[in-house]
Amino acid sequence: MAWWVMNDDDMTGVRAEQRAAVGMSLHPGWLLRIVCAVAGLLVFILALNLLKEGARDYGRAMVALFNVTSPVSALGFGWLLAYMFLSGSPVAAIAIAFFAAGTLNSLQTFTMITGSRLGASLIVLVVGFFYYLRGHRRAASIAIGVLSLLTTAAIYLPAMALGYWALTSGFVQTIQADADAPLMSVLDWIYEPIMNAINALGLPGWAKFGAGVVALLMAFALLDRALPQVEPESNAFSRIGQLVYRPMVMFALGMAVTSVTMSVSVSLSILVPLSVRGLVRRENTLPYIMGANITTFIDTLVAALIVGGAAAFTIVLVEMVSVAILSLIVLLFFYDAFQRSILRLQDSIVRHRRTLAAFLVVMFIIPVILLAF
Amino acid sequence: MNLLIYAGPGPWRNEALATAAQFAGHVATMVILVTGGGMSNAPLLDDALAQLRLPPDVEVRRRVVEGTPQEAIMTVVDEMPCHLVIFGRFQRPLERLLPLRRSDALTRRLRSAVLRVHGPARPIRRILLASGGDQHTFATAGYTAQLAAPLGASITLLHVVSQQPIVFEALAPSVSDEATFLESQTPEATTLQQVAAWLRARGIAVAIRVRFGLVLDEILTELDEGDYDILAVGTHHAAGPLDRVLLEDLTGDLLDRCPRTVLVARRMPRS
Repeated sequence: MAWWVMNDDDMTGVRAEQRAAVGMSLHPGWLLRIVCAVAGLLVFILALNLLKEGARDYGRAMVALFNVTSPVSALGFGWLLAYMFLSGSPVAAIAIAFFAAGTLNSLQTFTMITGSRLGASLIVLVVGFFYYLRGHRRAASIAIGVLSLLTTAAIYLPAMALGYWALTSGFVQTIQADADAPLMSVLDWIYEPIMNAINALGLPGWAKFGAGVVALLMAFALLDRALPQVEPESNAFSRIGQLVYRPMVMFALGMAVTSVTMSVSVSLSILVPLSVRGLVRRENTLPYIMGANITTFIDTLVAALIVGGAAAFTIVLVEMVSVAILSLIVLLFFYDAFQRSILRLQDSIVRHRRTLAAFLVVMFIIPVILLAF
Repeated sequence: MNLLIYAGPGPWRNEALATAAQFAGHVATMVILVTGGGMSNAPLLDDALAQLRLPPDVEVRRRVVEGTPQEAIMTVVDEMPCHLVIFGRFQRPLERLLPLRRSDALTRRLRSAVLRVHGPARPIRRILLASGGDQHTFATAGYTAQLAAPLGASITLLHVVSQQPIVFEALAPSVSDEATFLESQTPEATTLQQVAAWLRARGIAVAIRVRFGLVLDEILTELDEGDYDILAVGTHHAAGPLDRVLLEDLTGDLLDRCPRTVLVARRMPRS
C-alpha cells in the first residue's frame, strides 16, 4: 500500500507547480487591481474638483439650508451627511471641498470631519439592525457595530476637544495659511482642461456638486476593488478568531490595514477570512478599531492636499494626531478599564431589543439636535 | 510523577508545602526538595520533608543551591527533569509592582508544569480548569486529573466565549447561552464534552461551565463565584519568537492577577 506515499521532494515539486499555477492566475487579478487603483485615484481627484466647484456656487445655500453656523452644528451636519452617504469618507471630502471653497471655516471643517467619522461608525450598526429586525439575526451580530460606534465616540469626542484647543489656542500656526492655495499644480495639466470643459457646459452649482458626489462614490468603489486579498494561511494573524493578540499589535494592525482600505468597516470585513467562522475575539476587536480610526483619515488627508492646501491639510492632521494621542494614552495607561467599560456598555445595549432601539433613536436624534446650535 | 518542590525561604513557603502535602504522597515517585540561598537553608529541607509526610517508597532528593529561588529551581530542573514544579509565590503584594522576583517569569522559563501556590492553604476540593476549547485542554486535564483523582476533588471545565461575529452573516451561528453552546457542533463544545468524558472515565466528578465576555475577567469571576481551590490553565500557544511578540500572555496575566493557587500545565513529558 505504498502507492500513495510521496516524499518531501515530490511534495516540493507539486507545491511549486501549484504556486506557479496560482501565480499565473493571479496576474490578471493584480493588473485589474492596479487599473482600479489608478482609475480610482484619478476619479477621486476629479470628484474633489467637482465638489469644490459645486461648493463654491451651491455650498452656501446647502450650509444655510441645514443652518450650519457653528462648529457644533457642523458636527451634526457631518454626522447626518454620513448617514445619508452610508460612509464617512465622502463626507470628510465634502467638508474639505467646503473649506477650500470658503463655505466653512477651519473649526467648522474640523468638527464636520469628526461628525463624518461618528456617522460612519453607525452605518455598520444600522445595516445590522435592519438584518436584526427581519427576525433571523441575533443581537450579537450587530454587537460589532455598537462596539465600533462606542469606541469611536469614546476616543473622538475627547480628541475633538484636544484638536479644538490646538486649532484655537495658536498652538498650530499653519491654520492661518491661505485656504485658496491648494497643492494642485502637478495635477493641473490633467484636470484643468476637464474642468474647463465642464464649466463651459454652464451647469449649475448643484449639478456639479451632485456629479462630484457620484464621482466620489465611484472613486471609493474603484479603490475598494483595488484592495489586495488576504491569505489567511500566509500571515501571522491567521488565528485572530481563536487567540488573543496583544492590544498594541492589534492597534498597529488596524492602522496598517486601514491605511490601505481607508474605511473602518472595510477593515473589519477584511478580518473575516482571517477568522475561522467569521468570529473574532472581543479582546482583538477593540484595539483594531482604535487603530483603524486613525488611518481612516488618510484619504481625507490626500483630499486636503489636493484641493484644500496647507490649511486643510493641517486641519485633518490635527484631527488625526489628536485621535492618535488619545488612543495611545488609553492603550498605554487605561486600556483594561477602557476595554471593560466599552464592552460592558456594548453588552447592556445589545442585550434587549428595546435598549438597542432606544440607542439607535438617540444616535439619530443627537446630530439633529446638534444642528440647532 | 517526579515533583520538584521549592522548600527554601519565601513568603508562601508553608502554604506551598501544605498544598503539596495533600497529593504528593499519592502521585509522586520521586520528590526533589530544593532551596536557594546556600547551606544555611539546608535545615529547611528536613523541615519540609517532615511537613510533606511522604510514604517510604517515594524517593527523596535534597538540593541546596547558592542564589535566588528562581536560580535554584532552574539549576535543579536542568539537572533532573521533573513533571511538576511546586513553589509559593515569591513576591508579596507590594513587590508585585516591581519587575524583580516574578513567579510568572519563572513559570514562563520552565518547561515542566508548575503549581504556583498563592493564598491560604485550603483542602483541594474544587478545581477550575480554564479551557480554550482546543486539543491542548487534554494536556491540562491530564495534570489536573493527577491531582484531583486521589483527593476526590471535582473539576469544572470552564470555556470563555469572547468571540463576536465580524459581519452580520456569521459563517457559524453565534451563541449567547451555555446550553446552546454545549449543544452546538463547534470544535470547542466537542472538545469540552470529550475532555469531560475522559475525566469521568477516571472517576472524577466533572461539570462544564461556559461564560461569555473577556477571557481574563470571566475566568477570575468564575473562580471567585465558584469558590474554587485551584485554577488549572495551559500555556498559550506561542510557537516561536514572533508569536511571543504578537500574542497576549494570558497565563502570565492570570498568574499576576489570580488570588488562588494556579496549576500551569504543559504537555506531559515522555518518561
